[in-house]
Amino acid sequence: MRSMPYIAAAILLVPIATVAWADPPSALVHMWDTVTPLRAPIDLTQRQGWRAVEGKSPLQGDLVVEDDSFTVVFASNLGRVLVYAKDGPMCRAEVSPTSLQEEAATLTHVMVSKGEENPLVVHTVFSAKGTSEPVPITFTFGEGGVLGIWPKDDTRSITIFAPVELALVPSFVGDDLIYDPEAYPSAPSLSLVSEHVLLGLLKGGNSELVMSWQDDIPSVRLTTALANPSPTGLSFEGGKGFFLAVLEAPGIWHRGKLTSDYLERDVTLSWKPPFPAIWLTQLYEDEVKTTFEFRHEKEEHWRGGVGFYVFPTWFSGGKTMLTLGKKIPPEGEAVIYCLERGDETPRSVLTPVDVVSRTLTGDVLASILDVEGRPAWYPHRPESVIGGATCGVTDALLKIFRAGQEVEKKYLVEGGVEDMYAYLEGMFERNARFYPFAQDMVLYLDAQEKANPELAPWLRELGATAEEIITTCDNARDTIRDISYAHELGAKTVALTGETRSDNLKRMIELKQDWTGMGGALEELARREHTLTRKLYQQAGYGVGTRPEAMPIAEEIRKRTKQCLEKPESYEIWANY
Amino acid sequence: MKIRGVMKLLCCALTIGALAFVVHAAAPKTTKTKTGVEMVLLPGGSFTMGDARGATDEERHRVTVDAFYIDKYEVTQEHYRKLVGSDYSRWKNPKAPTEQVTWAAAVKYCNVRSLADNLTPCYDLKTWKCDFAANGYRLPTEAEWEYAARAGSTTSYSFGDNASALRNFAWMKENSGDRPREVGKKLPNAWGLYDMHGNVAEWCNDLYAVDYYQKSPAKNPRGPASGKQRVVRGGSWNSRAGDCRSAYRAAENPAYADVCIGYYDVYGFRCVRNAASSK
Repeated sequence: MRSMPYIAAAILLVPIATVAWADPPSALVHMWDTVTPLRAPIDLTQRQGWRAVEGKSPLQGDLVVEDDSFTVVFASNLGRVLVYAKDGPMCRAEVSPTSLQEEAATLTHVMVSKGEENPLVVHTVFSAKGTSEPVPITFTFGEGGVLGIWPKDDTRSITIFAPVELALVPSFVGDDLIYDPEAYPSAPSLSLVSEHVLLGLLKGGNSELVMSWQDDIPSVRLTTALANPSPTGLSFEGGKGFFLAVLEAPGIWHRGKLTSDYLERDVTLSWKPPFPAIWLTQLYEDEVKTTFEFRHEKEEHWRGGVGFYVFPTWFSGGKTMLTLGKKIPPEGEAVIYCLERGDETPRSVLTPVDVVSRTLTGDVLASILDVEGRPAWYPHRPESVIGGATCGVTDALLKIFRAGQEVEKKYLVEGGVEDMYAYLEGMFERNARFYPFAQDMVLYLDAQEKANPELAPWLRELGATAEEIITTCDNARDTIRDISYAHELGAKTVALTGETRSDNLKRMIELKQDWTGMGGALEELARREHTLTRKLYQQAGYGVGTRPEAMPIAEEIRKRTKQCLEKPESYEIWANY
Repeated sequence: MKIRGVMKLLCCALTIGALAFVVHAAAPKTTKTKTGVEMVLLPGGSFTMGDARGATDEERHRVTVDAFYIDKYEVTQEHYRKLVGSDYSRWKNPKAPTEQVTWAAAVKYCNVRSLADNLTPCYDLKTWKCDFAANGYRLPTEAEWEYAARAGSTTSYSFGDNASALRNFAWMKENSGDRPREVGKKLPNAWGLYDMHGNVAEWCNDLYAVDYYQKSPAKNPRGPASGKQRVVRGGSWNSRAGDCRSAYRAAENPAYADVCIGYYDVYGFRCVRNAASSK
C-alpha cells in the first residue's frame, strides 16, 4: 500500500465496463454491481437488485466497493467516484478529473483487477462529450480504509469535491496550518502548502478527509464556494497520485469562538472528544498562534516570557475545559482536532497519523512525523553530579551551604558547577542556531523582494519577524552574558568551599542569583526565538493562500525554519513539556 | 513640504508645552519622606473605574477613594537595596525600578520603609493581611492605583486615547529595547506621577477576581476576600500599548519571582500611605 501498485499484465480498457477478477477479493473488501446505473440522489440503503460481483463478468450497472472503512461508488452517469463513510449515509467526497469539471462527464470504463500489493485495483476512464480528452484514473483499495487515487500521467489533475470548512496542514515541529476560506472572502481558491499531508475538516464537525502523497505534488488548492459558483473542492495538480481516507466520529473536530466572557474562568465546552487521543487546539500565546494539547487534568504551567498560568486546555471527568486569561487570552477561535493516537486510543480508531504511517514511507514519512527533529532536547552532561538547570543545581548547592557542609562536600559543589557549565554551554549552542538563521533569512528575504517586487508587502512582514529574532538576541546579550562569565561564577562558587566562613551562605545566595539569572535568561531567549521562528513558519504558510506565485519562496522559508525548530530545548515547546 | 514640517514641529511644541502647563497647573503637592522618597498627595475623590472598551473584567463603575500619598516614581533598585540590603533585579541600574520582586517581597519592603520612617507597618507578615488603618506604607489598592493613574482623565491613557502618543509617557514593548528603564524619564501624568503606564507592572494590594467590579463597594474597595493572584497594573516594558491602559487589569501569583524562571523582571511596585491616619 506504500506505492502505486501495478499489476504485471497490461490493462486493456474496453468501451464497456467489465470486471476482470480471477481471485476472490480480500474478505474485507466487497464488490457490488448495482445492475442499473445509479442516478442522483444516490441512496445506498436502497440495494434492491444489486448483485455481488464474483468471477469475471461484465458490469451491468455501477461498481460499488465496500471495505471496513468506506463505501466507494463508481457512478458512471455522474462521472464521479463517490466516497461514503462506512456507516454514514452521506457522500463525503466526490473524485473527478479537474479537466472535466465544467463538462457533463461520465465514467466510460471500469475494470477491476488484483494488484501486487492491494487486494483490489479499479481502473477507470472519465470521458466527456466535449473536446476534453478522456482521463484514466486508477483506484486502489488496501488495508485499513485508505483509497489510492492515481491519474495516468503527470498532466492530469484531480479534484475532490467535499464540503471542506477548514483545510489543515499538519506539522510536528512547527504549528499546524489551518486555512479558513472565510479569512479570504474574495478569493475563489486558496493555494495550500504541499507538504505530503492535508486534512479537509468537513462541515458539521463529524467527518474529515485525510490525504497523503509520497511524490511531490506541485500544487494543492482549495476551491472555495464563497467567491465561486462551483462547490468546494481540493485540487491536486500535476498528475501525482495520493491517498484518501475518510475519518468519521461525532465531533471528530470542533470549532468555537473564544468570547470575552471566557476570561479568567474555567469554561466547559459543549464538545466532548469522541474517543481518547491526543487532542489539540491553537491559542494565542505571546501574540503567536500556539499549539496546546488537552491535558488530563488542570495544571499550572510555566513558559519563559509568559510566566505561570493554568494550562489552558484540559479534560476533567469527561468534560472539555478551557481556562483562558490575560496570558493566554480568549481571542479568535479554538479549532479542536486530533492528529495522532494516545495511549488509550482504541485500535479500531484511525487517526491522521495512522493514515500517514500506512501510506508514506522512507524519508518522506520521517520528515512528516519529524521522528528525528521532534523530541525535546535538554542540555546536560551524562556524568552529571547534581544535574538539571541552574535553578535545580543552585537549589541543591544552597542546601549544602545552609547545612554548613560546603567544605566537606566540596566535590558536590565542584560537580554542580561542572553541571551548570554543561547546561549553559548547551543553551548557548541552542541559541546560536537562531541568530545566523535569522540573519540569513533577512538576506534571503531582501533578495527575494528585489527579484519579486510584487511580493514586497508580504516579504516585509516576514522580514520584520526575522529582524525581531535578531533584535531579541541582541537585547538579551546583557543578561545571557557568555560562558567566560559562567567560569567566573564557577571560580567564585568553588572558592567558597575552601573554608567554612560565616558569610559563605550569603555569598552563595548572591551567586545563585547570578547563576540563575544567566540560565533563566538563556531559557527565556530560546523560548522567544522559538516563538518568533514558529511565527515565521506560519507567516510563510498562510501567505501563499492568495499568492500562489510565492509558493517556492514559502517552501524555502518553511524548510529553513523547520530545520531551525527541530530538536527544541525543552523550555521552548508547548504541549508536552 | 518645509512649511508643513515647520508647522508639525510647532504643533508638537505647542502640545508638549500645553501638556507641561497642565501638569504643572494641576500637579498636587509633593513631599519627601525621611528615607528620601518623593510622594505626591492625592486628594480623595470619585472617579469612574474601568473601561467600557476593555475586557470583561473592566466593567465601568463609580468609585470613591480617600486621600492618600503615592510614590512619584516606581521604587528604584537603589532605594530597595538601601532599605532591604539586597536587590535581585535582573537589569542592574540603581535608578531603574526594582523588578523581579514578589508581592510578598514588596510588602516586606513596605514594612521596612514604614519602620525606617517611624511609622506603623501595615502588614502582618504571617497572615499577609494589611491594616489599612495603620499610618505606614503599603501597596495601593487597585482602585487607588487606577485613580492615581487616571489623574482625573476618563480616557484609555492619562493623556487621552491616542495609543501612538504613549511612547512619550511610557516604556513599553515598542520603545523599551526589551528592558526596564530608569524611572522618571518619560512624561508624568497630570498629577505628576511617572511611569504609571509601562516600565514595570506594579503590584497592588488587592487579590484578583475577574468579576470583582460587579460586587465591589463604591467607597475604598480593597479587593475580594479570597483569591490566588494579586493584581498588577500599568503594563510593563514588555507590554503592548493596550496592556498599559489605565484600566487594564492583570494578575500574578504573589509568590513567584525567581530569576531562574525569567519573566518576573516585568514586575515592580510603588507605595502609598494614607493621608489621614488614625494610628
